[in-house]
Order: sequence, then structure tokens, then C-alpha cells
Amino acid sequence: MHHFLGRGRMQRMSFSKTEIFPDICRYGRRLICSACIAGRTSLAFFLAVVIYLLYTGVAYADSESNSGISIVISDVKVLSVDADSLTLSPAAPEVLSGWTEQQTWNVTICANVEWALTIRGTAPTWDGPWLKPVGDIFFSSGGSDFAPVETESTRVCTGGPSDNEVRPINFKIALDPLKDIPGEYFYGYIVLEFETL
Amino acid sequence: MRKVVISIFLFMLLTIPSNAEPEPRIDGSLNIFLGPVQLFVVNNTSSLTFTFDQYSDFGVSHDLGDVNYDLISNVAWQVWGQILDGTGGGQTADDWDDSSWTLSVNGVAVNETSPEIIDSDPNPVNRDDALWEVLVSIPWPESVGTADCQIELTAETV
Repeated sequence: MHHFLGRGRMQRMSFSKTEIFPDICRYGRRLICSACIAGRTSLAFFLAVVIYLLYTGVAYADSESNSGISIVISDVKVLSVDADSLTLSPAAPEVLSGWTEQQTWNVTICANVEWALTIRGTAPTWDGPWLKPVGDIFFSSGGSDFAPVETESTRVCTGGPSDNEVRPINFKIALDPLKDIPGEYFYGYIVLEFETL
Repeated sequence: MRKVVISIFLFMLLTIPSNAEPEPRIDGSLNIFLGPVQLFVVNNTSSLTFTFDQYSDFGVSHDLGDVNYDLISNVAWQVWGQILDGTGGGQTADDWDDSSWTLSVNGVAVNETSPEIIDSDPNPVNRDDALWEVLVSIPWPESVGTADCQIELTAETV
């Protein structure tokens, strides 16, 4: 199959390489007619257009549509915290009571969607004198009961569109004098994450 | 030509930046610096007493009762015991015959001259309302009288 350029339209017809269009197909055994080149150029052009559209993310479905302004507003969520680390030096009364003093992270939230804030620990144990479990870290928010941090995400709080909304998250650590021997304990694997509802 | 175009196309597809932003997250950390902690409380509110009024009472150990205590320690610990024969607590001084009489706490004889370790453990402990038995033995003969003393118990980390 070779190509033939008719009146203003691209047409196709079958003919032998040696037939009536020697001026089109004149390159010996590897004959490539100019129309074939045009066809391949069209393929390249098509691919180029597709790539351009993928990169720009803009498509004009109808060349006759009215000109205008198109604004795309995506879901936007911003999460920040006043301090992302806590250092505790519990005194004897705290150890004997079984809990450290309560500490607070103030999480600031900006979002234009319904959201949930989750917490999890990415490691099952602390680093330290013994394998203190992540479940010894307890959190609460908005007056809720304290709940243990787990390696699976747990919902801390939820909300709607908000601008610099501060949500305090309270932490306290369970202490057991039989297990929590003197030393330095470190848990660097707390993750607070947004979840779009 | 086609292969080249397709290759470029696939390469660009793989390198097209994603429009999806990752969900924001905060990575936090917690630090605890824990030192040695110990709590030792004796809960007895009244004196342990015993009356020797029979001949058979002498020369044998009698159970005066128990020391009721709470002990919490997150490190190795030990408790010392020593007899005090002074005026503390309104008692009469120097009326306890430490050289002839035997007083033991938790099976360990204690005296006035030096403290003795009555209990210890290399491991942490958490005891609540625990008991140490107190025994006293007075040999025959002993003159009539009333004697009193205090037992000083001191816990420490090791």
C-alpha cells in the first residue's frame, strides 16, 4: 500500500511498486514514497501533540469554544507543628505514678477539604535500655481519652476547611519501674499524617 | 524513525512529573532520660508488741508481727536494718538489751551497733503492702520490766 495525494484529501490505493508512479516510488528495492514519509511524519506529530498535552495538562476539546479563563483548584493541605520533638526527664513521682507529665504538640492545619489527622509509629519499639513498646506512648486530642500509639494509623481528629487552625495533641508516656530501668530512651518514629475524607 | 519516536515518547511518559502532591506529614520524636527511682514506705501505724508472761515464752522466737511496706525501685536495691534505742517516738532510751536479746527482720538479726542488710535484689522491684516478719527472742532469766526500741529501715539503690 502506498499513498496518493488527491484533491485536497489524502487517499489510499493499492498499486505495484513498478506501476504508474515511478516518480513517487523511485528508490529501488527500498522504495519509500513521499506520501509514506508524510504518513510517518504525521505519526510523529501526533505523538508530539500527545506529549505536549501530557506535559501541559491543557486540552482544548473544541476549537470553536469561547475563549475564557480556566482555574484549577486542587485540594491543598498544609500541616505544621510548633515542636516535633519532646524531651522528658521524669522525676521519681512521675515514675512512681506510672506516667510522665503530659506534653503538647500544637499542630497547625490549613486545608480546603474535609480532613482527618492520623498518628502512627513506624517502629514497634523504642531505642534504649530495653525494647519499650510504642504502645507506651499515649495521645489525646480535644479532650478525648488517651489512646496508645500503634504502628497502624489511628485517627487523632477531623475537621473541615480551615485556615491555620491549631489542634493540640497531648502526649504522655507510660512508665513501669519494673521495666523502665535508668537510661536514655528514644523514639524517633512518630508520624502525623493528613488524610482527605 | 518510529522506534526513535516511540522510545522518546515512552521516556517522556516515565519522566512526566505527577500532578498528585504527597499528603503532608510530620515526623516527630520523643526522648526520655530516666534516672534511678526508688520509693520505700513503711505503713505500720502502731508498735509491734509482745508480752512475756510464761516461762515457755523465753528462749524461743516469737512473732511480733510484720513490717508492712511499699518498695519500688527501677534498679538494684537493698534495705538495711538497725536497732535504735533512743528517745525517738517517745521511747525510753537505753532499755533494750541488745547484747542478750535477738531481734530479726525478714530472718536477719539486727542490732544496735551496725546496720545489716535485711533484703536486696539486683533486679527492679515493685512491692505494695509487702511484709517482713519480725521475731524476737529473750533468754531466761530476765527481770521484770518494759523495754522498747525502734527499727530503722533504710532502702538504697545499688
